[in-house]
Amino acid sequence: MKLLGAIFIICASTGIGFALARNLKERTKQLRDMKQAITSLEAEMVYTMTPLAEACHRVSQQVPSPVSTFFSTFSDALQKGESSAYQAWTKSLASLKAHSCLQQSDLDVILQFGASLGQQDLEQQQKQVKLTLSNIDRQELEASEKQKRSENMYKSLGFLGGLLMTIILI
Amino acid sequence: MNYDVNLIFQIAGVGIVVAMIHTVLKQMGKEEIAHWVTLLAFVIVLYMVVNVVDDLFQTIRSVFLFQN
Repeated sequence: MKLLGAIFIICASTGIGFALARNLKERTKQLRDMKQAITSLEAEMVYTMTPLAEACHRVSQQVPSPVSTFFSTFSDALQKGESSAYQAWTKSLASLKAHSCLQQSDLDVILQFGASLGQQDLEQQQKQVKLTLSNIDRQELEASEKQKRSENMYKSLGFLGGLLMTIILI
Repeated sequence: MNYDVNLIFQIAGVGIVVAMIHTVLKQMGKEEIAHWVTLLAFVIVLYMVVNVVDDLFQTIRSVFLFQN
């Protein structure tokens, strides 16, 4: 009976450690996806001059899950036409925050990009895209460095913490 | 005077695990957290042995101060 409890505790804390490590990994990956999404959004805007809602819909089909949901909710909100682009962007960003591992500083960069969306001409817009991409690049660099440093630490700390707890409790 | 040998093994286990946690944290450059963990583990171990230490002091008193 004691052994069973000990196994449970160790499994749980190891799981927590792995979940934290996975969060770090996901953040880097989602930043990369976001970068790709904004690049293809720029391509839609500059080369084919698609309207924003449709462009976002197309972008949402090109990128993997949490980022694609963000773009599809944004394009849905635009197509309903009940709010401005910035409001729709903010609202979709709030749902992205709940479903992704991105941190506040990453979301701020994306929010800043949304504020410029649909307000300027093509050239200005392109500059904004470039600025946003470089900002996301910086965030991604920081995220991957953090991932490299802390991923193994979280994993081993989870396991060792569980072990310590069982030894103390037995 | 027959103490539980398990206590010794338990303390040894805590020592080993805490040493490993200390090493991991130190490698990741979080030395102040590592020191706090070690200190915390020391306090916990102290709580575990407090009965035995109390017994030791009582024995010393009864030997040198002729009480009880």
